[in-house]
Amino acid sequence: MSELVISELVVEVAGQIIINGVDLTINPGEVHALMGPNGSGKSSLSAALMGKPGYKVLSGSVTLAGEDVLALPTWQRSRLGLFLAMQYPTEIPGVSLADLVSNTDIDIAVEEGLKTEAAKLGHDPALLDRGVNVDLSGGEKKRSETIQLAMSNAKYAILDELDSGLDVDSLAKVSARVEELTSEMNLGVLVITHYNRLLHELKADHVHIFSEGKIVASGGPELALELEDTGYAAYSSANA
Amino acid sequence: MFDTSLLETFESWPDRSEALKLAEESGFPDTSSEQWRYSPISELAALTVELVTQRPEPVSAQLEQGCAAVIHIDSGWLVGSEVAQQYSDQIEVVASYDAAATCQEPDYFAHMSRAIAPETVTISVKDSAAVAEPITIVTSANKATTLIAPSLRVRVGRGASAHFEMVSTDIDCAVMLPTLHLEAGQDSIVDFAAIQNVGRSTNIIGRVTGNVEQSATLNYAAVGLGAQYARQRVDINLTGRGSSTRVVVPSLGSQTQVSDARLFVNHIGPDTTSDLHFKNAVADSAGSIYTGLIHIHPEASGSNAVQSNRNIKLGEEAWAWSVPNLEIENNDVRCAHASTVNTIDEEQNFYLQSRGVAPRDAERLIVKGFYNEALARIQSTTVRQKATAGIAGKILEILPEEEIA
Repeated sequence: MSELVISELVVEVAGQIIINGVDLTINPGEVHALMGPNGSGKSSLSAALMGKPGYKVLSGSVTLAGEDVLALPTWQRSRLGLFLAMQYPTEIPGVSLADLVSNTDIDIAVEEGLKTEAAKLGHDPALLDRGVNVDLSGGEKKRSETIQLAMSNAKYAILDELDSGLDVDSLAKVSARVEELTSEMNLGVLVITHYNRLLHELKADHVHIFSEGKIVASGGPELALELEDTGYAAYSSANA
Repeated sequence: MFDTSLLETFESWPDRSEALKLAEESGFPDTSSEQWRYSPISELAALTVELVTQRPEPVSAQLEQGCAAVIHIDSGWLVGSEVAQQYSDQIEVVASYDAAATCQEPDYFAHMSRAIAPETVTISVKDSAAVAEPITIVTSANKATTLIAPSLRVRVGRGASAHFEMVSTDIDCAVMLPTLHLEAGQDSIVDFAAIQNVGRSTNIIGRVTGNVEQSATLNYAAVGLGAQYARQRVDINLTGRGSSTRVVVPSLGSQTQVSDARLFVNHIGPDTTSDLHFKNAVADSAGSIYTGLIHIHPEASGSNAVQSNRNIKLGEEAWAWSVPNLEIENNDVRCAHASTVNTIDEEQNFYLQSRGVAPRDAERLIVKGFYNEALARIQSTTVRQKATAGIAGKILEILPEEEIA
């Protein structure tokens, strides 16, 4: 009953169906990689799960530990245990990470927690005083997302291209930290990526191929390796 | 505002006839002139007001620790001042009627202000004086039917540095026509910060003029929270080579409040710098007006001017006009201006909510964050702290707790 279950999910944006029947179950501590070509709907799935305005669920269900996720507004989905690390994190001038965390239900020493998590990722602590994501490089934004994940009460994390913008060393640190969280927090992870390199440290239990708004193939880590050789062409309906 | 009962009062005051005559000749302004466009001033004409013709009771000026001087002004009259011992020969405070205290392009209200100002309080900082602690100016007025015109002149001498903090306490009057003259002598550094939190029925039509000499710096900050209608026209002349000014004006309006800022910066000398930063949020049916003109004169080569006016509308009936302008008469300059009128950013709101921040808290955070950059530019600790608390309090009033379903 503690799993995240996505069942027959259909979502439209501006009158167009972009998620077309997704079924996926993630258990605590599991890592699922979602791979697919650009425009296949991976990021849309993550936005719909988090309740982003403009994403209209036409049918299907999402439950977290048996609770109806889709019935909740975004902030309550977060407090239920869903975390979305965004592909393009939004800049919020004048609002520090400490301001942000202090306005959630996270009950920890915020300043100290931020510094501790920043140190684990080699994130310059001076950047913590800036507005959230303001004037950060792509890699710094992804480290900031990971810091927030580690400080959250998340049960399931959706990581939307967490690897984009990260250099090799940062990628290793970030992915290793998320891997640790799967043990420390028993965190279930849905990691959206184009590259197997993220999965060197963050070990995927399952790999899914996403195309045209749905999962078209699932397998173990070997599927990610296969994709590196063959690409997505075999999974596109245009080549069926 | 300009009725016969006021004229009778003036008869006992000397030297006012010329200013009164000029006010009459100028005529009460209307929105057909560019400098009054969008301004809701027509209702002011019908107000019945009275003057404070007697000096209010003196105030025993208590010099707080860490202050260089404290000056109390009540209804435009100097009612008390004290200068710390170590600055007694460097700071001078005097008050007298100054018939010559005119501002740039005086209009009806500027002439009226000169006519009815009981006196001009002049604070002078001597050449080369380094005044490390703030000079505090406390203004007050406490009669809801009065028309007052506090007149303040700040002179900082050559090579001197000083910072001024002006706070208004218990101000309640019908109309205020304040004037402020800031004079930054060569190589001086002048920092003037004010917070306005007067009664909600008060109307303010203020003038600020600044003159900045060679290599001098003038920082001016004015935080607007109170008043029904708060207008300030700011004219700053960067006359000396290498002179600079930094202006920051954050304001937050609710109900039917109107903030009306008119800014004119003249880059007259070469290598001059201006940085203008106006931020307004308006809720309910409150409004904000900003018009700014940066004028780069022919001799002002190497000048650098930045002007930004950003607005957030927090209510469907809230409104904002933003008109930044540039007039450039020299090619060797850098000028930038930005103007935005937005509602609360949906992406920012979603981001915060995706982290578990409740919707109302997210809105408050975004609005507070909107001001933080402006508040960080205010060097006066007292004004910055009061402004931060005042803005936070008003945000709570505008965006109250919601019942969570």
